[in-house]
Amino acid sequence: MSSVDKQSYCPFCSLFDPLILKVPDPKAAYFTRNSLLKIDYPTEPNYGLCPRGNYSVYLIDDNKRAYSGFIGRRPASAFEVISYAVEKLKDVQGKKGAILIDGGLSLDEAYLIVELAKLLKIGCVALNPVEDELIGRNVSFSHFERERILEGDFILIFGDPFESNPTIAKQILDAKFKSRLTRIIVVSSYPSKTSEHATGFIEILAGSDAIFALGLLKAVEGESFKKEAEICGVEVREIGAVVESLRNARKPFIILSAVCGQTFGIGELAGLLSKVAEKTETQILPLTQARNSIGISKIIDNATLKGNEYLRELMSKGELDYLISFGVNPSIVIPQETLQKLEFVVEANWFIPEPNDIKNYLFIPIATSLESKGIGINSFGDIIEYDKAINPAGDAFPLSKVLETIFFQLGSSVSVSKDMVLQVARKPQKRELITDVLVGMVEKFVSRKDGFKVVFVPSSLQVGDGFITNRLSFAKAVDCLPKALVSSRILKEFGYKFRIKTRDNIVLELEAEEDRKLKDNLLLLSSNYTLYRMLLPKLAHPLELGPIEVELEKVYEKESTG
Amino acid sequence: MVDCRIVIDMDRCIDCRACEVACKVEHCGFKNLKWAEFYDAALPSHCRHCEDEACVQACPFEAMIRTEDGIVKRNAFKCVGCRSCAYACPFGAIDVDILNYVVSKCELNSTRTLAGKKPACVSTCPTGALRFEPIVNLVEKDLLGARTAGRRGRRR
Repeated sequence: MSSVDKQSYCPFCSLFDPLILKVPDPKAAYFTRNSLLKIDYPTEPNYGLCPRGNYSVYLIDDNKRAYSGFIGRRPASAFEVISYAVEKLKDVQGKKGAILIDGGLSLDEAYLIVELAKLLKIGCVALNPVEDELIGRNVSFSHFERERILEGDFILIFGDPFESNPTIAKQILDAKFKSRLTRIIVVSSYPSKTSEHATGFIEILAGSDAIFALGLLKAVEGESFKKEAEICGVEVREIGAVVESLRNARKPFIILSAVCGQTFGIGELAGLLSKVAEKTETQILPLTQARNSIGISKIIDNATLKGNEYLRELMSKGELDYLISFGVNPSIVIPQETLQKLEFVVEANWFIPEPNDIKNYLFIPIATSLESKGIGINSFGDIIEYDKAINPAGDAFPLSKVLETIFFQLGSSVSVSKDMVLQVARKPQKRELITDVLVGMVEKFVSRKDGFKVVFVPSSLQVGDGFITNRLSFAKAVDCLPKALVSSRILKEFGYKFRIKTRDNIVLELEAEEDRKLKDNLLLLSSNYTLYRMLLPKLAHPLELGPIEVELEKVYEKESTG
Repeated sequence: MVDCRIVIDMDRCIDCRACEVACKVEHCGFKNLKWAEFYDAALPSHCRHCEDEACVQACPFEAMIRTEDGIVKRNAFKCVGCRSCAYACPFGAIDVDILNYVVSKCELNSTRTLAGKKPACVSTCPTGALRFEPIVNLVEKDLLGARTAGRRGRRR
C-alpha cells in the first residue's frame, strides 16, 4: 500500500522537533491498530527524535485511544456529551469550579479555554504539569536561532536536558567539539547524563538550585553571596567564577531544563536566571516538559486568572464543586477522594479515562495534536503553525471545534486569530519572586544532613507520567523500568529492596540499583511523574515542589514474597 | 547492495535509548537492537555483518543467511531459538528473545536502506552519535568493528 508523507511536529517537549508521519491512505477516516502508520525523520542532519518523539505515533494508534464519549459509564456520542455538559455548566452559578489545561495543547485552544473561563466566571485555570506553569510564568525569553548554540563558548546548564530534552544535546555537543575553549558547566545535585558530557560540574546540595541562581544574581549585582554559597554547599569562588565567565564569554547561554522534584521554587529559579541573563546579556533557553507551556501560562497570566496554587487552596478547603479538564487526566493531578466529591467532571482527552468510581463523569474524545491544526511557540521563541497530519479517529473532534460548540450552545461566540493569540502569549511578565521564604525553606531542608532525601530525576521515556497511561507497558518492553538509584551506603544498610516512608505516611516499596557517585543520603527516582504525584499528594504551596525527605526500611525476602 | 555500516561515536552517545525505541517502532514492536552495558554506560550494539560470519556458520538450521545485498539476515521460519548464533557472535550483537523463543538481530533496516534511507536508529539519534557510513570510509578511518574512543567529562 502506498503511503503519503505528512510533515508534523513532535507533540511532547518545548523543542517542537519536526517529524514526518507516513500515512498509508490520506483519505482514511481513522486508524485502529494500524501498524502501517509510521513515524519517519526529517532529512536535515540537525534533528532527531528522542524515545518520546518516536512514541508519538502511539498517540493516534493506541489501544487506550478514545473513539467515543461517555456520560458516566454509558457510551455516548461526542455531541451528546457536549450538550449534556453544557446543560450542567448552565446551572453552576454561585458554585466554584476550576479548569485543568495541558501544556501540550495549541495556543489558540488555550486562548479559547481562557475565554470560556471568563464566560463561566471560573477564576482558576491550572496548567499541567505544575512546574511548567511556574517556569512559564516567571521566565522571560527572547527569540534566537537554534543553531546559534553552536557558537556558544560558555553554556551554563541547570537540570539534565540530555535526559529530559535529549534533542538539544546535539547542539550542545557540537559547541563542545567545535572549540577546545568552550566551557559547558552543569549545576545539579547529582551526577547526571549532562554532567558526564560537560567540561565542568558544580555539585550542589539537593534542592538548592534556585538559591545558587540567587547567589549568581547577587554576584552580578555586586552584593555578598556568602550565605547562598553556604546553603548550596559550594565555595564562594565557584559562584564568582561562573558570573565572571558569563560576563567574559563572547556568546554565553543559560539552559534551564527543569523537571518536577529536583529543586524547590522552580518558578523562582526561572525568574532569577532570567534576571541574571538580562544583566549579563546572556541568552536563556527554557525547556519544558509540555511543548506550549510557556505560551499558555502567559495567556492564563495575562487574563489575570489564578493557577495551580489556587486550585490546591480550593481543594484543601473543600470548596471545589466541579472540574473541567482539557487534555489532562484529572486522576493524576487530583486525589481520588477529592474527585469523588465533585458534582461533575468534564474531561476532554485523547485516552479513555482511568477506571474509577466517579458517577458524574462526562468524557469527550478529542483529536491529538497530530490530528488537528494549531499554533505554538517553541523554547527558541519561533512561532510554529502546524496542520493536521491525518483525520481524527472515531468520534473525536479537534478541541477548538469542541470549544466552539460549547460557546455556541452557551449562546455565545468567540473569534480567535493568530495575532490575538500571539499578542497575549508573548506578552512579558513582571512578577514578584518569593526569594525570602525560599531561602529559609531550602536552608532548613539542606541543613538536615542525616535524613534520606529523594530527588526525582527525569526519564527520557517519562515512564507512567499519566500523559500516556500505558507507556509503562512500553517501557517494560524496552527494559526501562523505573528504578531507585541509591548510594553505596544505602545499599549496604538497606539492601536491594526497601521501603520509603514520607512524612504524610505514604509508603512505597522500591528496588534499588547502586550509583557509586551519589552522595550518602541521596536516592534518585526515575519515572518522575507518577511516583512524584504518589509521594506528594497534598501540596500546600508550589514552592514546595522539590526533593522530599523520607525514612527507609529494609524489606526482607520472606516478607516480600509472602 | 548495502555498502554502509552503523558505527557509534561514544563521545556523543548520551544513553537516551531513542535508537532502541525507533528500532522497536520500525519493526512493529519487535526490536532487533541489543544494548550492551559497560559499567555506567549503556550503548547500542549493532551487527557488523562480518565478512567471515561466525553466526551463519554456527547455525545448525540454516536460519542465518547472507543475502545478495550483503546483509546477514535471520529466517524467522527456520529459527528455533537454539542460541548457537548468539554464542558464536564475537561482538555479542545477537539478542535472544526468550518469550518468543527466537533470536533477533540487526538487519540494517533493509526496507529503509535499500530505498536509499538511513536505518531508523541512525535517523532518530538526537546527537548524531550513530552514523551510517560507507565501509570504504570506515576501513580508511580504522573504525570497522570498533567504536571511536570514549571520552567523558570530568567530575569535580
